[in-house]
Amino acid sequence: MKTEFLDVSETRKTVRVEIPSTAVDAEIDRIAAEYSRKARIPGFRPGKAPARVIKQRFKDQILHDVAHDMIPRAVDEALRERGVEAVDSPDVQDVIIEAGQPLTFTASFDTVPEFDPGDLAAIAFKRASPGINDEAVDLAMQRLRDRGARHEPVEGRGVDHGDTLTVDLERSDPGGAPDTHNDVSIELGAKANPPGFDEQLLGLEASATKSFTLHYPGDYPIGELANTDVSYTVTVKALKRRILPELDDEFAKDLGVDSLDALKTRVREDLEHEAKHAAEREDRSELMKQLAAKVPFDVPTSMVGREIDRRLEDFARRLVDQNVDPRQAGIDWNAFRESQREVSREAVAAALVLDEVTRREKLDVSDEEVEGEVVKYAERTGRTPAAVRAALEKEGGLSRIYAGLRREKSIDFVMARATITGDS
Amino acid sequence: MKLTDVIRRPLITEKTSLLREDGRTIVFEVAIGANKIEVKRAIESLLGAKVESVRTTISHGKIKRQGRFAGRRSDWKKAYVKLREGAKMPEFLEGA
Repeated sequence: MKTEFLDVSETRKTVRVEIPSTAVDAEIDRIAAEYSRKARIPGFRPGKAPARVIKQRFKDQILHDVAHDMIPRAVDEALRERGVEAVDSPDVQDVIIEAGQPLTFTASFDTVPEFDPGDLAAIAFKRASPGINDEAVDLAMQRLRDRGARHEPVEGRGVDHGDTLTVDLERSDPGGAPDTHNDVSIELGAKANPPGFDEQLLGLEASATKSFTLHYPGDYPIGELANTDVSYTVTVKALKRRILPELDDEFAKDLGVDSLDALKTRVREDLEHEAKHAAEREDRSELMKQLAAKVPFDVPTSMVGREIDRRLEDFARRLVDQNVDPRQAGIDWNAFRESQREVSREAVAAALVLDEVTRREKLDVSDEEVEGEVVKYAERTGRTPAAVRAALEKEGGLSRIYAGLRREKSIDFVMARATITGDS
Repeated sequence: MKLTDVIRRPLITEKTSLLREDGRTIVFEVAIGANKIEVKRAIESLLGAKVESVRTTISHGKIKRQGRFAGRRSDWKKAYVKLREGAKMPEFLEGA
């Protein structure tokens, strides 16, 4: 076998392979013998047709089979001989195959050259501080209060700001078609209300009726309504006022906590927990960014493409989880793809560096660690570790766990060596 | 009869494959009206190989029925052509 390597770029290589005719002919004979066992040819009993008839009749199929059989093997062998590894299955072109002739083809593939990730201590960043101040806690408490609000009926006065009304509403569009809604709830001061709508209702008492016409400004977000006049007839049926619960032990008990102070601590803990995670994520993305900058060559496009695909698929899956049909979500997928290109490139580059670190430092994952991960996962999902393990083995998920743990380890490794400054 | 109408097709079956092992017998389906002399001339002029002998036989068409209708396939003539010693096998038959 003759091979001839050609470097298109640092990461893109092509290899021209020539397999001698003797090997090709031997392979053709082998495949033809296989065909002759099953082939039904008029004039011959099955399995009795001579090889030369078979070869003539099934020429194209046999050559196709031979190519499919020999080319991947040859590519593998060529790559192994050269000591390079392709990141994706090579792209095979210009196949010339003919009985009695050498088989030639060109395969192009991406590869990751060896590189030095450099001094890990040169990675320096400031740890994001997971600080929580009292204002954030207060804000969260306020939100809890809002959620606990009740509506209580109001009597003996007109509509005021902040009230919630139950009304029968008749609306006639610019086109003139009336549109009636019964028992609608309207909160005065809500942002979704049309401009000027609230003022018209102020002072109305229960069971009062009022008709008025609103003019929507030209820059109204709903295009169909902008610059139109719409007339409304509103009958107020009930008036309610939103009552916020007092911040006291009673309120805390309603939420299942013993006292107000305990609630405050809980909220603070939750926020701190969240902030800590956010900070960790930030640290990690900063680390990734710096790692990505350490790749001295252009990241192979096929890897970036794969990463983009993965991200898109992920996104689509999330849409489906939210009951949105990705095909009808009105997303310009091409533009979205482009927008993901830079992040994907960075992610791939960082992953390459991490892999390189793993290789250089011989970080490996032991079976016990994987077992631990499986047990953890089993506890989270409430199944037995054995069941989880069996399920993972069936879908080939164990290798994913291995890869994930290895990645985690190398991140920890890099983190431990990077120069990190921070308040905490 | 025109010479180009004489030879219909070569017959390639287990039996003819065996016959060809001597390197000089080939079997054709020929026009039913053709005689041995015409077959010989046709082979010699069209395939360019000298013929030593020709034997012919008529295969009778099978009776085929489709439900209650019976029909008959046409009879056809087979010619065993023996080439002269040392004659070259016509090229297009080589692989077959």
